[in-house]
Amino acid sequence: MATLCRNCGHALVFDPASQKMLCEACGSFFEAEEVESEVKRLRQDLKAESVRDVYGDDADKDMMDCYIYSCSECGGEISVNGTEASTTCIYCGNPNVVFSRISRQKCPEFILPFTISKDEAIRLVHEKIDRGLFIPKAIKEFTPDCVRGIYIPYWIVDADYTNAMVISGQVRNGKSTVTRFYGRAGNMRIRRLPVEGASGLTDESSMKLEPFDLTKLRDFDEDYLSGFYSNVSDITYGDVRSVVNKRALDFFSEAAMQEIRASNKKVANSRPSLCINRDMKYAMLPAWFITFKHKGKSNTILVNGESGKVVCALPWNKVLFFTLLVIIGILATVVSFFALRGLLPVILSSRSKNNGRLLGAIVMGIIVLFATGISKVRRVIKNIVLTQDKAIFDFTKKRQG
Amino acid sequence: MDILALIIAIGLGFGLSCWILGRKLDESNNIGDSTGSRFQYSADVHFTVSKDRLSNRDRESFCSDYAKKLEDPYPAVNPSTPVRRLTEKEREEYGVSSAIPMPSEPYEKPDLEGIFGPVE
Repeated sequence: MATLCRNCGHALVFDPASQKMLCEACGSFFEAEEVESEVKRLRQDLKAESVRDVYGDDADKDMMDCYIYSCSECGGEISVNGTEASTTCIYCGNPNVVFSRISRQKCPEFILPFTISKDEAIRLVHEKIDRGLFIPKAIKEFTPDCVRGIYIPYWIVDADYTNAMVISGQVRNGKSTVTRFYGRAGNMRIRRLPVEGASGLTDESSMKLEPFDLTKLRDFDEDYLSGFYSNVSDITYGDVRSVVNKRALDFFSEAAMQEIRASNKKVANSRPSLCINRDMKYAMLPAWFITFKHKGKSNTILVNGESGKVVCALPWNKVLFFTLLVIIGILATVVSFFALRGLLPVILSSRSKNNGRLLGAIVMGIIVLFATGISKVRRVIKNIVLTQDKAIFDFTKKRQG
Repeated sequence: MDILALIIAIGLGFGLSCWILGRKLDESNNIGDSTGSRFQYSADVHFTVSKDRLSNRDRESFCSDYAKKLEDPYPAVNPSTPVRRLTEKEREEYGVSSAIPMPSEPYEKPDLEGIFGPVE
């Protein structure tokens, strides 16, 4: 059900720029906390009908987890899946919050309202990709296929963590390189780690939306959802534990490795222990999901709805990349050849013991240059796969409106 | 000599080109590829044991010797149970009502020295 304007009765939406509820029909503004309407009370009693109740056995199998509501503005049918909490009416475009079926235990405690508007999000995306040297022109001029402002459920977690870790690393010992082992044991206390609570999203994507400024969290009020889409948490204690364990291990090993002076450092063995504070805070955090198609593939760009951080990896112009690779390669080869033609006879004729070392260092340098370049390209390709992930596209696209 | 110079020059030239363009591609097409750092979550690590140059025997036993298992003060929960907020009664029962400061309150760094003891 939508919260209606006191002045004209039109549905109110949350306006990120003013941080108030806005009536797009008469231009009135209201504080979200002030909008104490009967609607909020009515929402508590609002009952949804399952698809099977409405359509009987004719219901599509794919729709079995959907619930049917009526739009408070036009009476149109609103279908939401088992985890959606707010949506838009497909017929009249008015916002509808369907929070009724959520018990108090499942209702968020906090919300971080959108501060970035839809137009701003698109502008920020264009600002970033317009600067991209290898981003194809067709992508730079993209028209969003669908733009959805979605409140993602997060659990804000506190945890204590201990670990005893053996790290291997390589150090120089005279002329050779030897592998040494280092032991680090210790503990840490993690505070306010956001763990994304929608199973439809991949953790890898949602983690990149961080950081969120959690000091700006407000007490939850469903009016903030008006005009946006939202999901409720559907993850388990096991999921939370696994995410916190992984993040804690990353934090701990990063700190341990910083202390060790060696190269090629790797964790050889570790014995972690984690204790999560069960009193996790449940909050809704904002993100814009912008989808577009390029060469038949769907891409989803994420924008942090609070900070405006843009997250995506976009397909690259391979012709331009390889042309530049060859041109720069040839130019650098010519310069290096003339430099080496003069230097090599001098180096090799000096009969110094360091000649071999110098040549070895040059070969090592070449290997490092290739390895670093290739690893960067591989990272981009890996993240492009994430941007084109079907799960994240479905998470955005399946929403009615 | 010229052939050796040419071989090394090709390696250097194309290696450099690969490095430059790899970096440029990462800057250009990989946008926002970062996650929250440990400093954002006050995850200051307090090392209680630091040993360099572990012998083979120490390497095997280090983890078991120095690992500290944390006791979970809460009743066991089935990992497949959906996460939910605690009820007021549970909060009172677990004594966690004030365990997590409200996000709007300033964060006070915990005194880890007092809790975990000094570095060996």
